[in-house]
Amino acid sequence: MQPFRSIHGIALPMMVPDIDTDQMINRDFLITTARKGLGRGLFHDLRYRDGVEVPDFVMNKPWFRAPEVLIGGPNFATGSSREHAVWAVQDYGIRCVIAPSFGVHFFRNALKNGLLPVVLPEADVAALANAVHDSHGTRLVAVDLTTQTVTLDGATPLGFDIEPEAKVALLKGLDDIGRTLLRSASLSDFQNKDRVQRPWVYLDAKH
Amino acid sequence: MADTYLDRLWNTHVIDHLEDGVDLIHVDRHLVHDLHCAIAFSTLEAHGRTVKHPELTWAVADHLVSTRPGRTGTTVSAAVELLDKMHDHTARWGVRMFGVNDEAHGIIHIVSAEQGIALPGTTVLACDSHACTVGALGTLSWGIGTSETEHILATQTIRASKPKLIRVELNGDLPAGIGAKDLILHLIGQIGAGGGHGHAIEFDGTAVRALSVEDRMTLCNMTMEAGSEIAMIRPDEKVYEYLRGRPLAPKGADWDHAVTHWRDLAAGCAETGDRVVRIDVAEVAPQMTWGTMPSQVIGLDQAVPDPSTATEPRLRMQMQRALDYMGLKPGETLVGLPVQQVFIGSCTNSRIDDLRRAAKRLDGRKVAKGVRAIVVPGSRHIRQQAEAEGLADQFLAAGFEWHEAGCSMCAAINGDLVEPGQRCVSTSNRNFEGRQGLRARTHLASPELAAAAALAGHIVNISEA
Repeated sequence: MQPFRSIHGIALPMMVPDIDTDQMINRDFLITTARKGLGRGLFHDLRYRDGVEVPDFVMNKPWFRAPEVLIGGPNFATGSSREHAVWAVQDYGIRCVIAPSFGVHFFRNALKNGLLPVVLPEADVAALANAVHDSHGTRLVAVDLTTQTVTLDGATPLGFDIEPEAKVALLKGLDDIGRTLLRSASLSDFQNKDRVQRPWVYLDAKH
Repeated sequence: MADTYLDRLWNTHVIDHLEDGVDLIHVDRHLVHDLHCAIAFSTLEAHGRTVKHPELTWAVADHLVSTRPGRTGTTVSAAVELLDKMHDHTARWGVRMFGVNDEAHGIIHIVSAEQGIALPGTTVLACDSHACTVGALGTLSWGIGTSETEHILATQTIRASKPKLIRVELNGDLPAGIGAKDLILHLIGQIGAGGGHGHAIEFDGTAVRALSVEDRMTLCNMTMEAGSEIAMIRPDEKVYEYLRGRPLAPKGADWDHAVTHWRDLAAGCAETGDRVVRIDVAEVAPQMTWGTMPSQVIGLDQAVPDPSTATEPRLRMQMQRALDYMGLKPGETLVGLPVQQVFIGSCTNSRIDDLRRAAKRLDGRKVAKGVRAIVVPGSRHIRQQAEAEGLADQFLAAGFEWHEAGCSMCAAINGDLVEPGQRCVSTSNRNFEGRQGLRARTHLASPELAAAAALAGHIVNISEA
């Protein structure tokens, strides 16, 4: 997992409520054996109509072509648990998504992949989106995980919360599995006791 | 103070308390489907890791498989590689796979219940957001992504924070023609698309106890659409009867032991929550979505809402966008709208009770001209049972297509699609823009309403029919 420390870049304003994972990555891009390469499918049906770019769609504006931050609305990425939505955002070059709230699966999947999900109050997110929109992306957004701040160029930093463990994992690019495997003894203890209580839970290797 | 059923299930599965309120939870049952399987196993192998308990993971090919009668695999060429890898990985690691040729094949959450994989008091994690379906059996169950799937394969555990609890009490007698689908759509409309964020939902009340176990699965299936990834119902005798004799349910003395354990687990729980929602089901009308989220739903006796009544500008824009996408105007009724497609299926509504109820509407009539109506049973067992009961013949005689089991037009990634711009009454669980096909207009509803729309060629309110 790629570590996340800080970024300073173009932010893509998409303050629409309840953007769902099906809009983010449609069926044509889900069928893949790799995590890479999904950026071209991100918001595909909003970016293109009948194979032609929709000029009014925010991602197609020349000044928003290379964003590193996405500013989403409430309940951003609601819907499916498909991790492809996170992979598509990352593959497009985005490292951080800021929104008032997130779909639960997207939020967790993002953390597992080194994509930073930042929750800020809706009024702050809206102000950020408006400023970025009005400046045609020339006002960049800095996101610093070490100080837990989001700063629009020329504005006061906004603090955000993140669970300390998730923060460390992101900063160091740590993989959960490696850390959990260090607790194998706890797992064995649990299973040994549980087998007595609930023997039917533990099936034979051949069933 | 007594603990809730959620407290009991959570606490008995904690292996370790980690930092920040995160717990390491034991995963009793783990299911993976074809969209995630290859990537999860490939990454695991690439990192040189092994599958900790292959006997506690099951793999189901459901999203990508063709549902055409006589199918042998997928008709989507790009999916062949995913399915081939799924066969290879599961064979290599000794994981039981339900492929299309398996006699017990079906949709992941339906197989989980039918096979007795999901049992009361167990944690059941599946890489699909509708994992909450089997909460109806008294499990603690939620959906996960590919990375978490990989974590479970390697460790048989998951890192998770205990959610808060919304207790939903459904009391009263269901009006004729109203079922679990109407109840859950109504609830989602009441609490909103994000209303359940951070919460599990526990259902209880006389109306829930009166439902069959299958209908309880319909109820639990869609809490996700209110933002709540966990649904649960304390198990009762109906659940034990449902599970008795299932292939992977405990047998003999183990069964008796398990039932005693489950009865204790469900007894004397605190009947409370961080929030409590009470609904008198006698007042619920047949429900249908008008917009592009499951929470954009109305009773068929109501008019399509007017965005100008919304208090917030963003909400107004969102409603207007949904109306434009759906080709609707404020104040009109859904009843009478012409439909071109009807889909009866999905992990929400493809069980035998659903098919029986839909078939009951047929009464020797035919699907209206210009309507393509398909029925996709949730599993091979359900399909065979429906055939034995004569339901399949009734559907076929009426002009419905009778498919093999799979996710079909719900996930809509196997080639079963709604045509661009067409209106579809669907028993599935998501009506997002483009979900069932490019520019497809989806109205979520019960199997009864779907069947009635297929026959009439337009949306019908069955409580008036």
